[in-house]
Amino acid sequence: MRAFTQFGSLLVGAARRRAAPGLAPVAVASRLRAAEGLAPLVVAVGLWALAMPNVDTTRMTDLGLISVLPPQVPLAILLIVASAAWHLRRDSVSVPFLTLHLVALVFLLYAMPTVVEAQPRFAATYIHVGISEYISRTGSVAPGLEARFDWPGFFILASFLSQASGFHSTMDLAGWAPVYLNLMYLGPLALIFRSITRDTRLVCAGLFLFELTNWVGQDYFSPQGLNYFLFLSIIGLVVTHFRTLKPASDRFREWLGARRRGARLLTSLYSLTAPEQLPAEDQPPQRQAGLIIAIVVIFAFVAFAHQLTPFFTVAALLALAAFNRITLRGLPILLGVVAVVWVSYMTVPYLSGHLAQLAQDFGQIGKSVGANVSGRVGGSPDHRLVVTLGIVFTLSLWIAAATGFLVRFRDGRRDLSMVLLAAAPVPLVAAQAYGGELVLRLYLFTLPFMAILASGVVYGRPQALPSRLRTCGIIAVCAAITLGFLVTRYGNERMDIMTTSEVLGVQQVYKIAPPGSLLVSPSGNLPWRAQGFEQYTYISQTYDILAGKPADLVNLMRTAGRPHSFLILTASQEAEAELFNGMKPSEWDAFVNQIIASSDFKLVYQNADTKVFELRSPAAAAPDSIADGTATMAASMQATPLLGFGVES
Amino acid sequence: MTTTVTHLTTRTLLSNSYDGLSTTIGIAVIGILALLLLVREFAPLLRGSAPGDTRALDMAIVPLLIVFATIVIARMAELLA
Amino acid sequence: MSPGRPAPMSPDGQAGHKPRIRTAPVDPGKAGRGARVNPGKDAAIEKALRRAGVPSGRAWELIKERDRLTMAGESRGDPAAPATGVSTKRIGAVSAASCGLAIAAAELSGSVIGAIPGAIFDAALAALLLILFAWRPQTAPGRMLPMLALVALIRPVSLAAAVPAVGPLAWYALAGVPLITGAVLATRLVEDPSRELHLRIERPRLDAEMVALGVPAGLVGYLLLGPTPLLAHANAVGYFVMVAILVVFGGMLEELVFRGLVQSAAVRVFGGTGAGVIFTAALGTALYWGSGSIPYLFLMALVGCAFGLALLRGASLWGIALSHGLMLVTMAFLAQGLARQV
Repeated sequence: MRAFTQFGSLLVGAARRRAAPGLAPVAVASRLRAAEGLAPLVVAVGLWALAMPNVDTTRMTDLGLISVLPPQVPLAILLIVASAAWHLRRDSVSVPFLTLHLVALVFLLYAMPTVVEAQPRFAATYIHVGISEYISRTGSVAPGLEARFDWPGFFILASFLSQASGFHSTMDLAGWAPVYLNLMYLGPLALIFRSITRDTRLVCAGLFLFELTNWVGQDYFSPQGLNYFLFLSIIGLVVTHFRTLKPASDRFREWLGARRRGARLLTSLYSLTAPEQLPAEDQPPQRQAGLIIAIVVIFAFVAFAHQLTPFFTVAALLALAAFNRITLRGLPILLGVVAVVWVSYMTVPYLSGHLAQLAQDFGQIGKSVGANVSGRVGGSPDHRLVVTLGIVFTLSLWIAAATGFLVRFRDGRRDLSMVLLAAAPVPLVAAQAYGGELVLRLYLFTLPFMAILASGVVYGRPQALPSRLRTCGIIAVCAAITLGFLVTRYGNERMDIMTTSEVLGVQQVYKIAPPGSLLVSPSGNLPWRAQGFEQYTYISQTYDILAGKPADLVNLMRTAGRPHSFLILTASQEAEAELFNGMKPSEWDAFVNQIIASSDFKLVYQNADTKVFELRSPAAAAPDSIADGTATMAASMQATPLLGFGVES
Repeated sequence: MTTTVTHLTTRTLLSNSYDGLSTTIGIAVIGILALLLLVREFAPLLRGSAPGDTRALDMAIVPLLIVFATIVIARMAELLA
Repeated sequence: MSPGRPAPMSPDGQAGHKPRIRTAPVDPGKAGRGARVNPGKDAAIEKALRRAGVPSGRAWELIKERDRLTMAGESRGDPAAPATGVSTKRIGAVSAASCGLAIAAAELSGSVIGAIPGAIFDAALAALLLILFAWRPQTAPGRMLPMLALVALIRPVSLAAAVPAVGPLAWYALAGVPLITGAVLATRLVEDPSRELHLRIERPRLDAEMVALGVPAGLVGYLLLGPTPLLAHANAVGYFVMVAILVVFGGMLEELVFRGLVQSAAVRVFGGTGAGVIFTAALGTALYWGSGSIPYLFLMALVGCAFGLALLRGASLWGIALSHGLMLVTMAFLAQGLARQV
C-alpha cells in the first residue's frame, strides 16, 4: 500500500515540481528510487497484458498451456521475481513493495487461464456449480444423489454468496477462483511464517516460493480450495497465539540430568526435540478464549465442507501438541471428535456404499503410493513428461526444504514446528489412495512448510545478506521454477480447458433432452451437471467403451431403461483420451465415425467441439424409477467412477 | 443386577435400534464430551491455573472418549454388516 | 510426592500443580474467610529454594509440608489461620445433598419419561458439576462435585456404550471399561488414595467376613430380583468370563466409585461418618431404581450401609469389592443354573 502511495506521490511530486521548482532534492531522490523500484513491476504487468491476448489455445499440444504461451509471459513473471529478489538484498526491505510484487505475481501466475479461456476450466467446476444450483433452487441438500452432498458446506456458502451478491449463478464466482484464493492464502501463510521468524526477508521469500510452487491446481472453485484457506487460518492462529514459549520442561530436564548414564546425550536429545520458540504476543485471556471459539467454529465448518481437510488439520495439530509446541494440548482431540462425528453420523448415505472399500484400502501404502505416483505416469509422451516433471519438481522442493532446515539448524535455529507440520500429513497416505490423488493433496498440505524451510537455503540466516552473485543464482533458479510451474500446473490444459462450444453444446443437451433422460459420455471430462443435477441420469463410462463396439454402448444405454438416451462427445474428452490413455487422434475419429454410421444413433446436435447423439428406440422406461429423480441418480452412482473419495473436490 | 446394567437399561437397549440409541443418548454423550474438551482448553485461560487443574475434567473426558470410540466402531460395524 | 506428579487435591477441593499455602500470619481484620493465597508466591518460594540448591521436587514437598502445617493449625483453631466456618460446611453439605437429589431425580425420571431422557439429564448434570468444579475448585462441596459427576455419568455411559447386538454380558464390560477408567483417574483427586480409599488390608479377618457375606447376599438378591441368565451358551470359558466381568465391572467398579470415592468425600462434606455412609448408600440405591424391584432396592441400601460401615471399621476396599462381586456372581450363577434346569 505504501508503494502505491509512493508511486502516487511521485506523480503528484512531479506535477508540484513543475509548479514549485524549489522542492527539496532529498525528497525527489527518494521518489525517484521508488519509481525505479516499481518500474520492473510495471513493465512485467505490461508485457504480460500485451502478450496474453495473442495466446491461441486451439494450437495447444500435450505439454499444455506453455506450448502456446509467448515468451513474454514467463519473462514477465521472471521480471517480478527478479525485482523482488534484488530488493531482498537491501538492508531494510519494504513490506508494501514486496506485497505489491506478490499480488502481481499471483495475478500473472493464476489469472492466465481465466484471461485466455472464455469459460471456467475443469469439469469438476461445473459439477460444483450444479450442486450449488441445486441447493439454491431447492433449498436443501440431497445426500442420496452425490457424495459431495454429504459435505455441503462449501456449496451452501457458494449458493448464499452468489445470491447475496446478486450474481446470476455461482459460475460467476468460479472463473477467478484461483486468483482470489491464492491471494487469500497469503494472509494465514504470513502468520504461520512469522511464528518462526521475525525476519521479513525469509517470510517474503517463503510466500514467493509458495506461489511459484503451488502447481497442484486445487485452488479452483472447489471445497478443497476454500478449505485449504481455512486449514491455513487454523494453523496460523494456533502457531501465532498459542505457541509455547519454552516447551522444554525444566523439571524434566533436571530429571534427565539426574540419570548418570547417558545424561548428557539424553538432555541434548531432549533439547533438540523441544527447542524454544519465539515468544507469543501477550494477550488477555478473554481474547484467547475468543480465538479458541473461532478456531472451533472454523473447524466445524471445515468438517462440514470437506472430506480430507479436517483430517489433515487434526494431524497437523496433533503433531504440534505431541511435541509440546502449542498450549492447546486438548484441541486436536476436540477437533478430531468433531471430524469423526460428522463422518460417522452425517455421511451415512456415502459410507453405506463405500465403507467396505475404504476399509479394504486402509493401510495399503504400496497400493496408495502406486496409484498416486506410478499410476499417473502414462498416456502420451508429452503427458508423461509433464507428470515426470511434476514428480521431479516435488522431490526438488522437498530436498531444498531439508537443506534449508539444515542451514538454519547450523545457525542455531530449530524450526521444529514447521518440520512437524510438514511431516504430519504423511501418515495419511497409508489410510487412503483418494482415487490416486492423495500424494497431490499431501504435496498441497506440506507446501507452506516446505516453502518456508526451502527459503531458508538462501534467506535462512538473517545476518547474511545474499551477495549479487548469489542473487543472480536465485533468479536463475526462479527462472527454472517458473518454467517448471508453467509445465506442471498447466500441463493438462488441453483437457482441462472447457471451450465455449463445449459449454454451449452441453447447454443444448439440456434443452433437447427431457428430464428423466439418460446422458452418457465416455468420461466425466465435460462441462455437464451444472444444471438439472437431479433431473437426469448421468453415466460416464470410462474409455473402455471406446475399445468396444457401438453395439455394446447401445446395450448399456438400453439396459438403463430411460425413455430418452443421449451420448455426448466433446473435444476435451478426446484430449483426455489422448493425454491419459495414449489414444491416437485417428482412433477417436474412428470411434466417432462408427457412432455416426450406426443406425442406432441419431446426431441431434453438433458444433465445433461437441456432438450429441440420441439413441433410437430406447427401451421402455420403468415409470417408477423415472419419476423419482433420486432413484435415477442412485443408479448412476453405481456406474460413475467419479464419485466417492476419488472426486476432484 | 448392577447400577450400570439395570432392568430399565436392558429394556431400553433391547427396545431401540442401535441407530436410534446412538443418535439420541450417543449424541448427548458426544456433545458433553465436546463441551468438556472445550472447557478443558478454557480453564487455564480464564482461571490462570496450572494445567494440572484439569484432572477433574480428564476424569470424565477419558471415559467419554472411550464411549465415543465404541459408538463410532459400532456404527461402522453396523454399516459394514 | 514425586516431582513429576502434580500435587493432589487438598480436602477442601483446592487443586493445583503448585500447592497453595495460606499467607499466615493473617491480620484477622483484613483477611476474611475467603482470604486466598497468592498463587505466584509458591512459585517464588520454589524458585528461591532452588536457587539455594534444593532440588525442585524437594522444594515443592517443603511448600506442601508448610501448607499442611498451616491447615492443621487452622483445624485446631489456630487464631493465625483463617478458619473454615460452620456455614461454609453447611453450604457444602446442602450443595452435595442437592446434587445427590438431582442425580436421584434423574434416575427416577428415567422410569417415568424414559431412560434416554433421564440419562441425558444425568449427562448434563455431570457436565455442570465438572464445569463448576473446574471453574471454582474451592467451592464448598470441593472434591465431592467431581465424584458426584462420576456417579451421574454412570447412566449415560451405560446406555451409550452398550451395543445391543453383542449380548447382555458384554454390556457390563462395555459400560464398565470407561467408568472404571474414570474412577481410576478420579483417585488422582484424592490426597492419599491408599488411606482415604482404604486400599490397605489392615483387618484381614473382617475382610474375609465381608467376602463371605457376599454369597448369602447374592442368594437373597436372586430371590428378590430374579435376574435373567447372562450367558446364552454356557461353557467353562463363558463362566470364567462372566465371573471376571462381574467381579471387575460389577463389584470393584461400584465399590471404588461409591464406597471409595464418594463416601470418602461425603464423610468430609457432611462432617460425620453416619451421614456420609447413609448419603452414599442412598445415592447408590437411587441408581438401582431401574432394577424395578423395591425389595431389591432395600437390600442394596442395606448392603451399601453395611459395606460403608465395614470400611470405616477397618475393612479394605478390596474385601468389600470382592464381597459385592461374589454377590453378583452368586446371583448370576443361580440365574444360569436354574435357567438350564428349566
